[in-house]
Amino acid sequence: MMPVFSSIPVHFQAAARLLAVFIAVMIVAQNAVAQLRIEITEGMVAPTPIAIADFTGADGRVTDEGREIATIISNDLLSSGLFEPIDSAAFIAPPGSPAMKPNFANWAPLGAKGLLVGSAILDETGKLQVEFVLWDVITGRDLSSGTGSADPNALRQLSHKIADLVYEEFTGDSGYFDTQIVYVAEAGPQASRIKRLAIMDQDGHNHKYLTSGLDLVLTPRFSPTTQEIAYLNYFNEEPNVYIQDIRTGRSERLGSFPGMTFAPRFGPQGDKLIMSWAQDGLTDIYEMDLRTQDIRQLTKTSSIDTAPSYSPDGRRVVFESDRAGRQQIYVMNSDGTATQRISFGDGRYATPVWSPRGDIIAFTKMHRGTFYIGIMNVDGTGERLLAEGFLVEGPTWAPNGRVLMYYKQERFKADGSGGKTALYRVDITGFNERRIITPSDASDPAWSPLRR
Amino acid sequence: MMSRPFIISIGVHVAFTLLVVFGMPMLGRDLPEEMPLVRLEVVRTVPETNLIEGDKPSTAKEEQQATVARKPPPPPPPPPPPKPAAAAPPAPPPEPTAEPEAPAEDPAAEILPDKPVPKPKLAKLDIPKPKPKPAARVAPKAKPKPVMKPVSKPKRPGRPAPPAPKPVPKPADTAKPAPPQKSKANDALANQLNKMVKDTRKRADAATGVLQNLAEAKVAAKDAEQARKTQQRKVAADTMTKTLSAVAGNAVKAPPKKSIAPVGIDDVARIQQHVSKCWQPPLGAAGNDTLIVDIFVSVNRDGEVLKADIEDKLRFNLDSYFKASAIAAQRAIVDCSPLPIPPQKYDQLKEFTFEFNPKFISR
Repeated sequence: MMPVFSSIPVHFQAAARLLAVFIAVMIVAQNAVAQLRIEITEGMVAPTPIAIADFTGADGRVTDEGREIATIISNDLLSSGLFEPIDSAAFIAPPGSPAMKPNFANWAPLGAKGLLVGSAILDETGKLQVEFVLWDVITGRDLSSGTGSADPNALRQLSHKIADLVYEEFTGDSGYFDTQIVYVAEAGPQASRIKRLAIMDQDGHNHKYLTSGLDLVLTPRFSPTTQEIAYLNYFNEEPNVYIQDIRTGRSERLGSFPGMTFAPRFGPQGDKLIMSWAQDGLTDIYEMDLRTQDIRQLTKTSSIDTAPSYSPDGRRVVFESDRAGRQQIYVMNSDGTATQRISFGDGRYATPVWSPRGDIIAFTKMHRGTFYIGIMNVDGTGERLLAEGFLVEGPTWAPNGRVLMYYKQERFKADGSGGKTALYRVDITGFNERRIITPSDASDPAWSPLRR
Repeated sequence: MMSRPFIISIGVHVAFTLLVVFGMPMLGRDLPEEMPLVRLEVVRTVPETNLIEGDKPSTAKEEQQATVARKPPPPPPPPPPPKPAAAAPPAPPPEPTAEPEAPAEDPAAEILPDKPVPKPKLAKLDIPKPKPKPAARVAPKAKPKPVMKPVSKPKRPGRPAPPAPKPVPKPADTAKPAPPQKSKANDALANQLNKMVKDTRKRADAATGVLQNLAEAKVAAKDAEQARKTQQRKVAADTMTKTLSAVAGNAVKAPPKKSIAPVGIDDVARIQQHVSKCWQPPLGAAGNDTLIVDIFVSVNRDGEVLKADIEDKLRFNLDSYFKASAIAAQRAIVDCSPLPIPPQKYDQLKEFTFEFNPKFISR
């Protein structure tokens, strides 16, 4: 075919015709490429202004539930640092129903890029029925719409789900608003501290305690698939891994090991648990199949290997070890082979946690008396420190891998006061650090997966 | 000698007794699914990327054709078809057109059936770009951001510029085909064509590659790959642009019609600056540097954007990060319409491609 073109004048006509065909074809296929290109490489870095209208009732008026839903969604979006909810006092004639097309001329001047309109109606059975549409104010399209229902007492959860949806449409990432945090609530003097497991929604609401405080508890971890938490419980002075079903509140000791087990973490499928087991002076990493309770030893060294965390695909494990003299971070295959050290910076590195996104590892770093929360690539490059303090520790990932939570302790004062601990979270860009309000001192947070 | 059934019976009884006494062992960690308290069903709209235009493919066809018919015959209308046509199966028809019920819209807010499905696209394309006056309830919906709708819009009588009288000579840039008549350049052209064809294939491959990558998982490896492709594509694009503009230039010169002022750096810079102010890309997405969005744009003589098509529809439908980025880029263009197009350079600038590259975020 091709040769025809480069041939002789005799074939000109035919060639020209073929050419024309080819060109036509290519103009169809290549039109875009053929055009002038203008590259845009600068833009605005700012939270996206968005309008969340109060949800309305059957008569088109705002209801109490509707107002609450809008408030919850606005607060979620605001807390992410990626959105700037517009004060509803500025709204002009919000639509009385999601079935109405908004007059975008009323919204664009407010700077709104998105507009969420919804209704919330209690049906005969007392259930809350919602409908909503998310509009792109600029292009006038609806980005998504949906319906939902919930018991009135699950209004908050329903609202978080809608907020997740808005987040998703504008960022491309799944949200994390419909999640929970389990953490260790602390109270009392340092010498006789009472530590209880507590759970709350990601925004601090629906707070409740899961354990009585009789036993000391540490390092709670969420199962990725079930409503269960693995944690370390000191019973009769002996620390062991327990699992609690947070719906029933029932706890069980996981297996029976001589010595002590600690630093538990679930595998990505929820069917395995990885943890440290110390016996006869050796601390190594073990994996337990939760169905069969079979145990497998993954590391075998005379050093202390602990804080294991699976990669999201379950094929690798990151952990800390002092085999090289002081704590550093290592990665190995999940069968214990191919161990490789990845942290080489100054100071000590501990409590690595693999991001749910798979591309980075969060850690705690100690250097010259200061603690840091940081992230690095899986190969150890690209280290970035996101937070620092007298004591910052225990990073845990939001399910979308964009936000980290951890706890911070203040310095103690000379008189023994101070030393308060609280939960914080920060975006992996290092911006938007926020304190999470809890009823008492708080440490060791663990972020749940997205609820269903 | 005990019979087998007897032994089995004893076994089962013992097992049952043990179960009763000790309870179920912790084997099945898989608890029964929790009944969700909350149910949420979501309809994602915009399965296609041809934004602006409604998503209503049905009737639009005819209207579109009618519209087209009225237009100058030469080149096929503006709708720039999908690019890597060959790329892959799912590629949605690029038809932007779509126009639900054009006439019906007037009330500021109209009741849609139930779900805002049809999305009657506001027909206000006439009013250029007057900053929307916040006036409470502008009756005829002084569409602030009317834009887009024009082309396919069958119903707009008083449309200002868009369908502007396209004299015949126009074919030059609309449809690059001009060359054929140019006998002299044939050999050179043939070579160029070969190259172009190759480039086309490359692009198709690239697109397929992207698909595979996405399907497999958007993981690290993708980045490098993507970068390479981007590069490749840029090279292809450059070559192409050069080639075609040369060709087009000749063609234009032949039938000397209007003098065409060259598009200068200043013109491009002005447009860049203008659009940068409206562009707010999503922040913090994984692999920011691969989220480069090409958008094909056509504008009328006033610089109003008539069309802003996301070119990589395949990726749009597969990659949620890309989708969010692409929509943000479209939003920027629409928000910034009209673009600063010098009237005397309209012919060169009436159609072009924006490439949104968010690399500044990670700087």
